[in-house]
Amino acid sequence: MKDLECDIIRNDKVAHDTYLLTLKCSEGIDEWMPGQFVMIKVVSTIHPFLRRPFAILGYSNGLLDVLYKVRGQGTYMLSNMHPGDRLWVFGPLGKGFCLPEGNEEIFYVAGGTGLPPIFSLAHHLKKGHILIGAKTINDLALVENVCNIPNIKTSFTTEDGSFGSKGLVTDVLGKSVNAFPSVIYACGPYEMLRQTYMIAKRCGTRCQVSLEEHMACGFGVCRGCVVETIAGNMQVCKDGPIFNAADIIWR
Amino acid sequence: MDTTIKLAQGLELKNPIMNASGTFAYGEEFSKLFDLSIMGGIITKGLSLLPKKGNPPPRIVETPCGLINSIGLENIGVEAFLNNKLPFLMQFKTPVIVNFFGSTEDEYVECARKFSIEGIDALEMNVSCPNVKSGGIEFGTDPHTLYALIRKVRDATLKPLLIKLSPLVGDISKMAFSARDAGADAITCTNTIPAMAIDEKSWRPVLGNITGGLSGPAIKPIVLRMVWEVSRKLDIPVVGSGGIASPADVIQFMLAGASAVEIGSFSLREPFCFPDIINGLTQYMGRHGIDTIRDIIGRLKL
Repeated sequence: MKDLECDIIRNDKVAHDTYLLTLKCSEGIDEWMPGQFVMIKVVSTIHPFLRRPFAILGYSNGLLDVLYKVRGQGTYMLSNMHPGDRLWVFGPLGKGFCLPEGNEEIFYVAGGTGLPPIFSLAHHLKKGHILIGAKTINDLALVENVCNIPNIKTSFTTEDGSFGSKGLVTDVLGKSVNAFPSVIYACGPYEMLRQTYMIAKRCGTRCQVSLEEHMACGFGVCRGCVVETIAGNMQVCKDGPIFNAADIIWR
Repeated sequence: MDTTIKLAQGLELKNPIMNASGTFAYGEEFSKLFDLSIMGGIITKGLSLLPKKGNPPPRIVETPCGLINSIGLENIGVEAFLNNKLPFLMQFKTPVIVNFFGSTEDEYVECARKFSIEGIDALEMNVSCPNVKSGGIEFGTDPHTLYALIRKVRDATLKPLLIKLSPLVGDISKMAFSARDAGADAITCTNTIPAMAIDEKSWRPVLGNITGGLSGPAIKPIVLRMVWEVSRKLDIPVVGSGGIASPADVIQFMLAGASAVEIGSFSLREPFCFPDIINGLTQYMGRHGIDTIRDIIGRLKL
């Protein structure tokens, strides 16, 4: 884990309130796995005080890609930064996804802002079926990039039917997963993850989810981001953000 | 250059920079970032006799120049600490200070006894957590109750004893005098300030515990005043803790009368701030021709 000075190469709006940020890092980041994240310090002044956690969308040749949605003050300030501006990246942090053990059929489920860790995993494995859900076509980011991943089957779902099928991404998942040995990787809103787990449970499928929680430190020292699991409180930042869905005590 | 600080008989720091309890866990994570032996001292996460689960999430909310937390003293308990964490901390060449709390006088006393072993250099007693009913704050807001509690703990241990006071008292000097009279070796000033955040969209509190404790640079001026108020009257060392984020802040606290400082919230944002601030301190000494850091303690010019 290092704290790297990074220069913004690109900070482009790619969907409603959603930006693709590319950073040139002062030195290489340590070896990373899809599902891991970084803590980004947007300003050197002490407000906003905390760094913001972002999943790694991709990293190669010293260029780090992050996809983010404007949620609050930190991401709003980030969205107003330009190529050449500097920020600081601490990471990679957390644990990544556990890769498939054999020849299971792989399903990836991404809802809303949950795309980045799912995209990086699909890009890493280059096989399986990726299901992406959003409210409307305007909320869908990186459609072309997703479709360009080799050997990947894609399904898009929007709640209003403006792109792909109409409905919820979990509806499509429920129809797609069958009894064959398979594994599900998911990231998105809490209710989507819960539904995904229900489907996985019904089909007897292994399921890993990437959880989101407000974080202060990002590396396991403050216990601000705990989630209740069958083994007690776990820290989303250090023990996760990837968890076996069956270990979570779902609300 | 001499940066050493003596906080008590048997508690000498190589420099005045320590971490605050609760933002450093038990040291393992930070040890991957830098050598913990550079620290003036390491203070553990607050420990109780039995493990504690803490409060429901959300536990953290950012506020202007700081944050409110309601972790609720989640910790692994005395036994797990002694077996699994203390041996790790003992390898570093810096004092290990164990922060602890109880929900009864007996629990405080029992903790102090169990921590009176080799490898632990001092105890910091929390009588000021705002996040749990039995986190000690009821002991820390009345001078007589505080005196009685510290007397019992003092009788149970020979280790140097620091008392971490609450900022939520009318006259903090009164509490500090009670602590000293009961046998405390030093005062930590202070814990977080009770606070809350509300979501105007949902009309709900942001934190699962409704209220929490405010920390970070937002509270620095308040704590600086308290340190000044307490230390000029008190004849035992005061450790300053509240929003410290730079070598300049450390100097300010020491001029106000702090013998040492604890850095908490800022290290959540800047994990490497400990080496940075320790280096910055010696640079300041060099620039200002200060040979011995303790010479500046309480030297505020009035």
